[in-house]
Amino acid sequence: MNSSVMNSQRKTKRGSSRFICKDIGSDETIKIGENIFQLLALKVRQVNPMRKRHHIMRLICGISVYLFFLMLPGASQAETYDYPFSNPYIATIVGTPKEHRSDILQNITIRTGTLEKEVGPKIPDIFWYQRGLDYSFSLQKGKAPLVFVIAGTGADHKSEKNVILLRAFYQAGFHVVGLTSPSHHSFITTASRTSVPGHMEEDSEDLYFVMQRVMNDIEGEADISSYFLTGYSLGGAHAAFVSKIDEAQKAFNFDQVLLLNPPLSMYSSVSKLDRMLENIPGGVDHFNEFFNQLVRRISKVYNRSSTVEFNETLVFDAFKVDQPRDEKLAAIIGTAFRFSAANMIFTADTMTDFGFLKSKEVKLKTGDPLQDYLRLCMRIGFTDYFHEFFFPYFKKKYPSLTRESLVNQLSLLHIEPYLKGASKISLVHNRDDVILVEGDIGTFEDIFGSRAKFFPTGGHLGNLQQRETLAYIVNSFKKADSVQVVF
Amino acid sequence: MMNFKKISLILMCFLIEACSTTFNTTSSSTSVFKHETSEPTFIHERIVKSDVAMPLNVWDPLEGVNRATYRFNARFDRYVYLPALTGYQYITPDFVESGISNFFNNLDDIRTLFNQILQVKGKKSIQTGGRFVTNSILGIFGLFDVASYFEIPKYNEDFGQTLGFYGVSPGPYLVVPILGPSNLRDGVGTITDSLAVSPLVSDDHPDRKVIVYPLRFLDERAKTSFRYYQTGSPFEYELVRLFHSTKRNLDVLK
Repeated sequence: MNSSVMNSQRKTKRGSSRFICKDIGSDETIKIGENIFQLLALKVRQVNPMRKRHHIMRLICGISVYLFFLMLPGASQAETYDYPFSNPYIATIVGTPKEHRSDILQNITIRTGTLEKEVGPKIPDIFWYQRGLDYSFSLQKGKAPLVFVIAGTGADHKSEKNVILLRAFYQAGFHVVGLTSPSHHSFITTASRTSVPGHMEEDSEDLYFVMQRVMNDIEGEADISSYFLTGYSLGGAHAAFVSKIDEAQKAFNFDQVLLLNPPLSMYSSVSKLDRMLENIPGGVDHFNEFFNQLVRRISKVYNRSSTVEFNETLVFDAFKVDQPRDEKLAAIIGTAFRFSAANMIFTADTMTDFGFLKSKEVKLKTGDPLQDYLRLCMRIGFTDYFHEFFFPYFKKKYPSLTRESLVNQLSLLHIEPYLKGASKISLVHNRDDVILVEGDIGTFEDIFGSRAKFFPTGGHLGNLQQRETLAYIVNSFKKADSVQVVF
Repeated sequence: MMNFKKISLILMCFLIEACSTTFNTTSSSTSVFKHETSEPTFIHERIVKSDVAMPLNVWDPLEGVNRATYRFNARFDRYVYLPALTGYQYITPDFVESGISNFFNNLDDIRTLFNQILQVKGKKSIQTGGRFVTNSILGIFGLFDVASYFEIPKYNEDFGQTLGFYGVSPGPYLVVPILGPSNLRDGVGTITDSLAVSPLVSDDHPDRKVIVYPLRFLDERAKTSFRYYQTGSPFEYELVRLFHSTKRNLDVLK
C-alpha cells in the first residue's frame, strides 16, 4: 500500500504536463475555438466589401460552431475522471491537490447573517459567547434560483467544504445560502429544540425552521425563481430528510435535491469512525501517546493565521503536506472525527444537564476549566454517546423506543419509499468512501437507480474540489434549470 | 489493514465478554450493547486509565485570570480591534497594505538576526542578515519583499526562543491582554526584544510613533485570521493553549 501512495504522489508531482495532454476538457476546446476565430479573423481581413454579408453569415456559423464546441466538454467531462489518489484514506485526508482542482473556484463575497435564539434550553453561563446562529449567503443581482448548502458533521456555514460549494453554485448563477450543521456547537446551543443532536428527523425539522427564518431575513434582497437543496456528508442525509418534510409543508417546493457522500446508516458510519481508532499503533491503550504525537504534528502547522476550525479539518490540514504512513491513516481519521464528536457531546450534555459527562447538579460557569472534560471526550466516541445519552434521552420521550428502532430511524432506509419515488433527489458518492460499510453502495444503487452517480475514488469527499466532480455536482442542478455550465 | 481487522476482532471479543446482553442491529455487522440502565455508565476502565499519563498537559496555574483575560480579548477584538481593522482595510489599497506588512516583517528580521546570533546559528543568521540588507536596499526600506523573490528563507526568532535554547523552561501559561497567548518566558522575551532591538521603540520621534504603533497593531491583526469563539469548539481556550504551547516548544527545538 505504501508503494501505491508513493506512486500517486509521484503522479501528482509530474502531473501537470501529462495532465494537460490527457485533459479533453476546457483547455483543448478553447484552443479549437480560438483557431476558428483566427481563421475567421484572417478571412475577414481579406474580405471584399461587396461580399461582407457572406462573411457575416460565416461569422455567425463560426460562432455557433464555437458554441457547439463549448457545449461538448460539459458532456464529455463526466466520463474523464482524473483524481490522483487511489487510497481512500489518503484521499480523505489530503483532498484534491491544486493542479486537479476546478478552475471555477474564485473568491466571492460571502455575507453573514445571524438568527437570534428562539428555541431550545437556556444557554448556560459557560457558553456566554453564543448569541445566535450565523449563516452565509451570497445573492445574484437579478432573478435566479437559490441553493441551500448544509454542512457536514461538526462543521459550520463557512467551513471549507461549504464555501467550496457556495462558490461553485454562485459562479454558476445561483443565489447561495450556507447552513451550519445541527451537530455543530453553535446550532446545538442556539437553534436546536432538544439540544441533543443526531436525531435525523428532529434535526431536519430544526433545519427546516432555520431555512425559513433565513429566507424571511434575506427575501427582500433576492429575486428567487426556485429552490434547490444540497448537503455533504451528514448534511447530505439531512438534505434527504428536509426534502421529505418539505413535501408536506411546501415552504420551498424544491426543484432538485442532491445528496453528497451521505452515510446510509448514521449508526454504522459513526461506529466505523469510532473503530478506526483501534488502528492506533499498539492499540487503543496507546491513545494518549498517539494523541500527543498528533498534537505535535498539528502544532507544527498551527499558527493563529491558518486554523480557525477545531474539528477534523484541523487534523487533516496537519497531514496535507507530507502524507502519513499507511497503517496510521485510519487512526488519524478516527481521531480527527473525535474532535467533532467531543465538541458535540460536551455541548449537548452541558445544554441539557443530562448527567453524561458531568453530574446533573454541576452548573458550569464562565471561566470554569474544561480540560478534564476535553480529555474525557477525546476517549469516548459517537457510539458511547448513542448508547448512554442519546438513546436514554429519547427513550424518556418515547417510552416504547428500542435501540434497534432508533438505529433504524437514523438511516436513509427509514425514508426509503420516499427516496425511491422522489425523482427530484439524486446522489453523488464515491465507491471507496471510508464512512460506508460493505453493501452500502449496492443499497444506494437500489434506492436511487439511475439518479446515483459514483466516482471510483476520492474517499470521503476528498474529490469535492476535483474538476469533474465539481462540474458534475453543479451541472446536476443546472440540468434542471435547462442550462449547461462549462468549466 | 489486516491489523485493523485483528484488533477490532480482539476488542469485540473483549466487549462481548464484558457485557451482559448483546444483540445485533440490522445496519452494523456486529454491535455490542450494554444492558439498559437509567443512569449513564460507560466503561470507565476503558476510558480513564490511572496508570497512563493523560495528554493535554500545559502548566496553567493562573487559569482563572487567564480565562478572564481571554474573554476580555474576545470582547476587545469584537468591539474595537476588528472594527478598526475593517476600517483600515477599507481605506488602504491592497498594495499599500502589503507594503506596510512587508515593512514590519523587515524590521522583525533585525530581531530574528540578533537572536540567531545569540543562539550561534551561523548559516541562518547570515541568511537573515542577507534578507534584511536585500529588502532594505532593493526593497526600498523593506516595502517590497525582494528577498523572498530570491528565495532567501525567512526565519522567526525571538528572545523567548533564545531563553528556551539555553534551557529556560516556558514557565506558566499566560494570556496577555490584547496580544493573546504567551507564557512567562516568552513574555519576558517580548519585552526584552522590544527594548533592546526594536527600531520602533528606540526611535524617539513622537510624531512617527503616533502613526507607526497603531499601524503595527493593525498589521498584526490583519495577518491573524483567528476569530474568537468561531472555532466551533467549546474547548477553544484549552485547545488554543495546547497548540500554542506545543508550537512554542517546537520553535525552540528548531
